[in-house]
Order: sequence, then structure tokens, then C-alpha cells
Amino acid sequence: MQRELAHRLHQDYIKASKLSNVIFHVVLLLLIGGWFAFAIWKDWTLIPVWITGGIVLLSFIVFTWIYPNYEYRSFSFEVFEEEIEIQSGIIFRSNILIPMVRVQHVEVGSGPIMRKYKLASITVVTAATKHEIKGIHQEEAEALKLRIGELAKVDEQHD
Amino acid sequence: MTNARRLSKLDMLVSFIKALRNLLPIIILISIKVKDWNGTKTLATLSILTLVIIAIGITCYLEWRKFQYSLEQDRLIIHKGIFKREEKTIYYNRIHSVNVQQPLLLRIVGAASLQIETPGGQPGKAEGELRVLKHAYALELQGQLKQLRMVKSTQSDLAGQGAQQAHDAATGQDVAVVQGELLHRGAQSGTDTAVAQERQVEQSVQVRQGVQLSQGQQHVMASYNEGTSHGDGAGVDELVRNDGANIDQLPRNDHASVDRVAHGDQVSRSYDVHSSSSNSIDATGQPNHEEPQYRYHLSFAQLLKASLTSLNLNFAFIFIFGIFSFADEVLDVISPGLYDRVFDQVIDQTSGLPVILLLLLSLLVIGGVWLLSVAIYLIKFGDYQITRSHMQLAVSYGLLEKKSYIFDQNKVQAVIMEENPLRQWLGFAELRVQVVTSNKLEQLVIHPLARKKEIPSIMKELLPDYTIQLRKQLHAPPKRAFRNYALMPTIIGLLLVAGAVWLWQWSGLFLLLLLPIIWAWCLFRMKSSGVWLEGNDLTLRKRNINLITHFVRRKHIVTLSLKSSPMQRKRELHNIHVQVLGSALSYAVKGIEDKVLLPIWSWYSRNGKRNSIEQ
Repeated sequence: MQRELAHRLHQDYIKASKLSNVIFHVVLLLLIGGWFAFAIWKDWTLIPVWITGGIVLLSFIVFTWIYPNYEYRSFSFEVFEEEIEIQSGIIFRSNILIPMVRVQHVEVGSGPIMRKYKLASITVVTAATKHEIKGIHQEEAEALKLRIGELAKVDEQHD
Repeated sequence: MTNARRLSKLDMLVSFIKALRNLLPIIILISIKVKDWNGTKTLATLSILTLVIIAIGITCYLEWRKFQYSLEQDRLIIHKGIFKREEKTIYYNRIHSVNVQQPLLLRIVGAASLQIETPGGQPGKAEGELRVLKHAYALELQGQLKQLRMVKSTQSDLAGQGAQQAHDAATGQDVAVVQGELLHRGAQSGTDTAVAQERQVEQSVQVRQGVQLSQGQQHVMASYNEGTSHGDGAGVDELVRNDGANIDQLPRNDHASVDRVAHGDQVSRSYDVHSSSSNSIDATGQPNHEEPQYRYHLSFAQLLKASLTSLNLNFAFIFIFGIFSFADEVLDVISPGLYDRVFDQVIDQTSGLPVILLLLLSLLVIGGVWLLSVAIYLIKFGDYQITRSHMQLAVSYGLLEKKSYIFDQNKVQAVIMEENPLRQWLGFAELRVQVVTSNKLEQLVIHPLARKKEIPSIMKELLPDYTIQLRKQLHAPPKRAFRNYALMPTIIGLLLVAGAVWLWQWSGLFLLLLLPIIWAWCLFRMKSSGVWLEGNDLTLRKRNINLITHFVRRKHIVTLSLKSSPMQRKRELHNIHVQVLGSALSYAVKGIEDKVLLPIWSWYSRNGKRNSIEQ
């Protein structure tokens, strides 16, 4: 809560996130373009097409130019000896505390775009919840995985 | 696999019936169509149908045949699958609860299914399920698993935390006996546990008294002390005296604590408490684990009281919504035009007072729904009983569908107290516990209707390790949190008004009257919420309509999070979310002051603690 958390995402995460959002939105816009052509051909009303197109265009702008920067800035985490703290959320901020004794396992994964930038995401899994830290460097992710695995070995319940 | 066992042969019948039930639509379809068909077509269809049914029959047989399970020393092993063989191993010490359930179909054939719940595994599915067992045998197996679990935990207790009291040693000695005996017993089978239990109780009363006396002065002294220190636990007697209907604690008068209630005598009570806490054995070396130390059976008067005050509003709303959305179609199907005719007539005759009529009608509907919810409550919680023996709690209830759960006291993740407005006013509450079950939204009821004043003493009997403090005053959200509570409901209210205006022009504005009601409700919610931290226990309280209080211990919290919107940050407020095992949703309270939450945060934070020690 009050302490500064030392770890941030990797700088390249902004680029990767922008790229994947661009691809996603281009696909969406292509689909809408198809719908547009089809509507003209069949003489359908064009109002819903304009509305959807407008929304997608807006989200295109927000998610490729604005959101990734803020996401990068607002996300921080730190792995302590006995717990992990993650802070996230641009508008609605959330601080979460995961004790090491509650960690069941750690998953590392990365998609094609993330791999292009040598990035990976770590998912910390407890018996009840999952917490993803996406967009750190692959080597760092591996190191973190091992470290959390080591620290989470202690298996005891105490008050 | 030593002494592998199979499910009851009824399993074949049950899965056959279930499969046929799925085929029913096709069969109906065929029987409708069959009269239009010629001979060969009918013959072909019928023969295919027969083949399918035979195939189902064979599958059912094979499924039964290939399903085997065995109780090993430290684990349960299940083998199943016709083509794809599957082996499942469940260690006893990983079991969180063992449940016996009797859906209607199984009830009819006198069988039950047994679920073994562990954390993890597929959501919505028990880790181990023995589909169909004879009911009596399922109960016996449940008892056995409970015993095996307990033996394990007692052993680890001894190895780990160790010496609690002098009698721990005695328990430890006989663990081996109990275990051996159990495995032995496992090989045999068939006796109805319930009956056995009763018999055993009867015997054990005398036997235990013998043991107790022979163990001499010191023991009696010790137990006397324990009794006096438990003096406030005397609530049980008070309950029985003050409100005979309230706690039907001893439906069978052969139970050990009869003398406790009858005499109300301090020495005899404490003596009993003590002897039963050391009673995993008795003089004959018989595992005398069956007789509970605490038993509560919901009497019919209590059940009726509970059902009358249950106010199952969710159900009522769904029901009313259902009626309104389907009534037109249903009526139209049954008798086309009837709805309009009746409606016209009614309007004609009562053109002056349609509003009053509508009100009356809705009152009638609400009354009907209330009666229905009472009936459903009666069926669901009829024959409710909870017992505690040693560390194990056993809950069973249900008139049509029997459910029975056995779980370890240590596996309780949180205690939940819920009061609907009516019960709150009358001073009653429902007590539940969060345990790990395959249904993540389910909480087990450990007391359907407890008088609030008596809750501490009830908890002492049910979960002696789990003291809960009933505080009236918690750290409530401050006044400046009101916006936080009112914002969303107000927006929704305004949207409703906008919709109404769009529909009915300006007369829709009368819905604006809803806003003060919404605000009053928000204020009510805010005033009822709160958090409190004391020792290792965190109390979270919130209200939608019912007041819900969660009691959580530090060691059971899986994650803790604090969330805030910009508006909240400006006002130094946060929402607190506490996640425990077995619950799909986290327990949350909105809009609490930072200065209250920060101590909770550092209380939960391991590093926060360590840092403060180091500094």
C-alpha cells in the first residue's frame, strides 16, 4: 500500500501492447468494412454500421495510443521474501497482497507478439485466485519463476 | 489395491434410468410419428431404438464393473473408465469434507452418493465421487473416512504442535488401535452406522464413566477446573431451560450429556465435557468415536420459525418475474383469447379501481410466493441436525433430498452470520461456515436460526477453536463515503427514470420518487457496513438487504486487496476485498477509511510485520 514497489513492466511492453492492439483493431475494422460492403449490396440501413465503426475507431485510438502508456505507468509489483504485492489499475487502482505460503505454482507464458519483443508473462496461482504480471523480459520472468518457486516452498500455516 | 470394492449394484439401475431419461424426448417423438409410418420404417426405428437401449444397458454394466475403489492406509484409490482407464488417488489428509447426498432418484431406490471434496481439481466437481452406494453403507463409509482423516490429523498434531493436555498422550497411544480397528472394520461392512452409533452411545456412557473413575482424583480435579473455566459455556443449559423449543439438543435421551442438562450440575457437566474430549478410546479398546460431544437437532417448532422468517426474497423475485414473463404465453396456449377476455371483463367491472385491484393482486402473489418459499425452506432444511465429535462436524438435512456433510473443524475457512431484516429485528441469525466444496457458491449452514445472544455459546460448542466476537459497533464507513455508496444506484435510478420518460412521456417522472428510497437504502447499507480487527480475527460486515457478517482468520486469508476509485483516493477511502479458500467471490466492504485499513494491511503483510520488528 504505502511502500514504493520496485519492479515495473519492461519498456517494450508498451510497444508489444500497441502492436497487438493495432492488429486486433485492424481485424475488427476489416470485419466492419465487410459488413459495410454487404449492407450497401443488400440495401440495408447503414446506421448500425456507422455506430459500431465509430466505437471501434474510438477504442482503436484509446487502446493503441493512450492505454498502454498508462497501463505501463500504473502497474508495479515486488516480490518480497514472504509475499508478493501487485499494484495495478489506471482509474480503479487495486493493491493486492499474496503471501508466499499461499502460492501454489507459477506459470510463464508468452504469445507470438510478446516473443518478438522477448517478453513473457508470469501468472501466480493460489488455491483460490490467479494473478497475472504481463510484459516482463523473458529472462527476468524465468528468474522470477524460480525465485517465487523457491520462496513458496515453505509450507506451513501459522497465525 | 487391497480389498478393492465396487459400487452398489443399484448403480447400474440408476445410470440406466438416467440415460433413458435423456432418451425420453426421442422416444416421445417416435411414438408421435409412428402412426404415419409404414411397417418397415416402424420396424427399423424400433430395432434401432432397442439396440441403443441394449447398448446403454451394457455401458451401464461395464461402468459399474470397471469402477473400483479401495481404502488404503493413507489414501483412497479409485479406478474407473471403460476404455480410458483412470486412477485417482486421494490422500486422507487432503480431504476437506465428505458429503453424502440423496437426490430423489437415489432416495427412491434407497441409495446415496458420496462426494469427497479436496481443494483444487475441476471446479464444480468433487475430486472423488462414489456415485451410488447403499445409503447405510455410504454413511458408514463417510464415518470411516472421517475416522481415517482424524487419525491422520491426530498423528500430525502429536508430531507437530504436540502436548496440549495430559490426555493427548492417551489419545496418541490409541491411535494405532483405532487405525487398525478401522482398517479391519473396513474389510467387513454392512452395519447401519446410525443404528450402531445409537447403540454405541448407550454402551459408552457407562464405560466411559468407569474409565473416568478409575483414572482417579487428578483427572476429576482437572476436569473440574476445565468445567469452571468453561462456566460461560453453560449457555446450553440456559437454552434448554429458557426456551425449550429453541434448542432440541438431545432428541435421543440415551445421549451422554443427558445428565449435563438434567442436573445442570457444574461438576457433572465438566466431567462430561472432559471425558468426552478424551474419548477416542474407551476401556474396551473399542473405537468409541461415534458419540458426539454436541448434538443439535432442529425441532419442528424451530424449523417452522426459521422458515416463516426466512424471507427468501431472491426466490420471490425470480418467481414473480417468471410469472409475468410467461403468463401471457402459457394462457394463450391453454386457451387462446382467454387472457384478453378475462382482462377486459375485469377492467370493465372494476374500471374505477384498477390500481387497488392491482395492489391486491400483487399482495396475493407475494403472499403465495412467501408460502411457497416457506414450504421450500421446510423441505430443504427439514430434519436438520448437526453434531460435533472431537474435531469433526457433521451436518445433515433435507426431507426430499438428503444431504449430509462431514468436515474437519480445521478446514473451516470462515464463519458467516446472516440476518435478514425480520430476523435482525427479532434477534436471530443464520450461521454458516465456508468450507471447500465443489460448489463454490455454497456455504454450509451450521445453525439455521440462532438467537444472537446465544451465538458465542453455540460457537463454543460447535467450533471451540473459533471464537467470534459479536460487536455491535465496527469501524463503519465515514459520512464522506456516502457518495461512494450512492453513485451507482443513483445512476441506475436515473436511467430507469429516463426509460420511463421515453415510454410514458412526462408522467414517467413519477419514478423520480424512487430516488429518495434508493438513497435511504444506500445510507442504510453504509451505516450497517464495517470492519473490525482484533487479534488474529478480522470481521467484515456489509448489507445488501440482509446483514452479512464474515469472520475470517489471518491464516485463512488467501489474498487481501484494497481497491479504490479516484474519488475514493481523494477522500482517503478504499474498498477491502478478502479472498478465502472455497469461496468464488471475495468478501468485500466498500468505502472504509484508510486509517482503519492500513493497520489491517500491515497486519496481513508478512513483510510489514518483519520490517517493523527490525526497525
